[in-house]
Amino acid sequence: MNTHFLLIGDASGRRLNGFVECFKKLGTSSYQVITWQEYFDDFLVFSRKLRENTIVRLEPPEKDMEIYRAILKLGEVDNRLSNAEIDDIDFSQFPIIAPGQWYAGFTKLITDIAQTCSVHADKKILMMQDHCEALAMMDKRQTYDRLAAKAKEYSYYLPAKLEAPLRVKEFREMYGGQVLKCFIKLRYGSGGTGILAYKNNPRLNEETLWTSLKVEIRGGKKFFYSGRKIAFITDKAKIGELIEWVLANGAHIETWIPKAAYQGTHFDTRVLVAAKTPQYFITRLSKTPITNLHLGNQRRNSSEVFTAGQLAVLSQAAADVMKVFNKSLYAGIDIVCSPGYKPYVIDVNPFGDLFHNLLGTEANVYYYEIKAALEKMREIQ
Amino acid sequence: MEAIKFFVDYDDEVTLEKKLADYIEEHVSYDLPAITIGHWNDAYDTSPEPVINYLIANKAKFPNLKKIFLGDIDSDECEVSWIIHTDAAPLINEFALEEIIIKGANGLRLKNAASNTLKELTIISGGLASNTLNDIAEATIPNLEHLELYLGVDDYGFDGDISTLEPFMQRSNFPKVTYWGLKNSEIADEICERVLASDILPGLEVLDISLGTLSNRGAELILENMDKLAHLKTLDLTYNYVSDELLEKIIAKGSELNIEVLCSKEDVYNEDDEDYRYPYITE
Repeated sequence: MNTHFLLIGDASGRRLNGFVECFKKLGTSSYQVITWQEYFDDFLVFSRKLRENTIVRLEPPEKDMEIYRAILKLGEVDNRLSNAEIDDIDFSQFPIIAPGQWYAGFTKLITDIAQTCSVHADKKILMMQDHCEALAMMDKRQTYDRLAAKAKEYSYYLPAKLEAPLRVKEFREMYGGQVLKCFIKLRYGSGGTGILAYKNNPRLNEETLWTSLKVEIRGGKKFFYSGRKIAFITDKAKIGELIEWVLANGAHIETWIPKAAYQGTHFDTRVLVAAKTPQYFITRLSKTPITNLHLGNQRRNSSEVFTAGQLAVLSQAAADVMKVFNKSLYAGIDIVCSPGYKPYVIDVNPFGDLFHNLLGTEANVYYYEIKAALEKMREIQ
Repeated sequence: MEAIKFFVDYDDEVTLEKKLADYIEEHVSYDLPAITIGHWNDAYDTSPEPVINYLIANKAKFPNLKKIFLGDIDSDECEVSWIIHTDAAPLINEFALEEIIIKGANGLRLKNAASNTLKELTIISGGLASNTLNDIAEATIPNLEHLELYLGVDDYGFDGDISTLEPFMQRSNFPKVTYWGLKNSEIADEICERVLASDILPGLEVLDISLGTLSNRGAELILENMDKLAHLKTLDLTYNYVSDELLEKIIAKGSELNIEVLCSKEDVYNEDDEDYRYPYITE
């Protein structure tokens, strides 16, 4: 029985084009593409294109700010930005606007798509991502809570979670008197977006931050956006301003796990698990506490960094994370190893399968995903 | 020297002294010539006194110990300037050590340190206090050959000035020192000026003024006095704020005199802004 793929993604994005390239190389699969732009012009395009035996794959909207605007408009939250305010946003510097409202909008968007799929269940439709789990992974609090609930059963470790107040004043009242190293993360941020690596030592009157989050004042208003470089900030007022914004937009705070070092440089590892099996490891070396590759950090083959035994531990931890998200076909799992090589999970990314270095190569992880999806489809058929 | 590193990992509930005791229980004695003491519980808050006490109380179980690295702690585990220490002199006094390296210097003392075997002393810190420096100056370590002190900055505990460093300029205090490093300092230019006029200089093989805020001022003095350095094997100026032109002249003169000049600026973060010049290791 012929299986078709239906992809929704960003027209100019590397994800969509990278995936399509894999189909072309395979030469056999039948596929159609809907861009987010087309989807927002006419929601019904999706159900029209759903044929029998279709595997649906969603790619996240990338840097198209008109799509960001459209998703924001779908979001229903308290104190929401009105449509008129959304129309007025100046997106020229890619500011991060109302991430909670964006997440609510994205939830509505992919829930609608999933519902359309269930309406057409008789056609045998498979979504590559389980939308509920993908949404949970996009919320760092939910991700943490789901993993914490099962941590005793599995081999991964988690940093301790700290209470996140809503204002920096409370934050400093709660934590200012103690030595603290923690990561203050934007609950709905992806990758390195809105992550503050925070240190406080009252004995030395020292409070510092590493972050790529920047603030700029334009037309009397503050705009927060991600810079391309990670800055080290020691000015207390500036630190307060950045923490205040992350807390106000929903924060998840975790203790700072000391990282193991490779040749004197700290690292973490992204593990792609597809069909329950760790398929690909990339170790990211960084001179700062934030290791995301788009922030200019180096990558290394994990086999260079780990012994076979250590890699097996890492592999098991990643596979165990996917047992918690057991309806998902794949995810990218970020793991920090402590100096004693205990694996601590610091992030789970439902769209964490974009490895720029593999695009166009035979090692591209998209091939694993296509194979795994086709196998799962056969089970349904 | 072959060593085992003992340390407490994140979330470990066992203490470092317990890890040492477990090792001894299993192996009866620790026979290697060197030992590395890494992160101990709450190193930002608690000194390694229990570890030191354990080692001293069980010194017969460490029969071959010649080298101790106390505080081999990564910045991610605890920043160097946050590490709390105590009086570490008993390690020098009780073991026949040839080398000791200590990282971190908050509360570090070396009171009445005395050893005829100690040849190498290194203290890595973001700020070394006057009382610690005075302890070293007053220590009875006549066979010391290698003296390497990371002085750091006042924000992190360096509360002295050039006069505090005077004892280290005098050959009579360190008769056998051939490696002399007063480094990682925010007063590197002053150190440079003083050491060039000191009587410790003639017997040195390595002059190490690296990792500090050495500027053209100090570098010009070095260039003017290169003939006084002709006996050196190595002049270490790694990490500096000196102009490339001046460094090239020092390298060229060094080459004539057969001195290895190390002067990479690879890790210098903000070279051009004179208001924000820091030594390599501070926090």
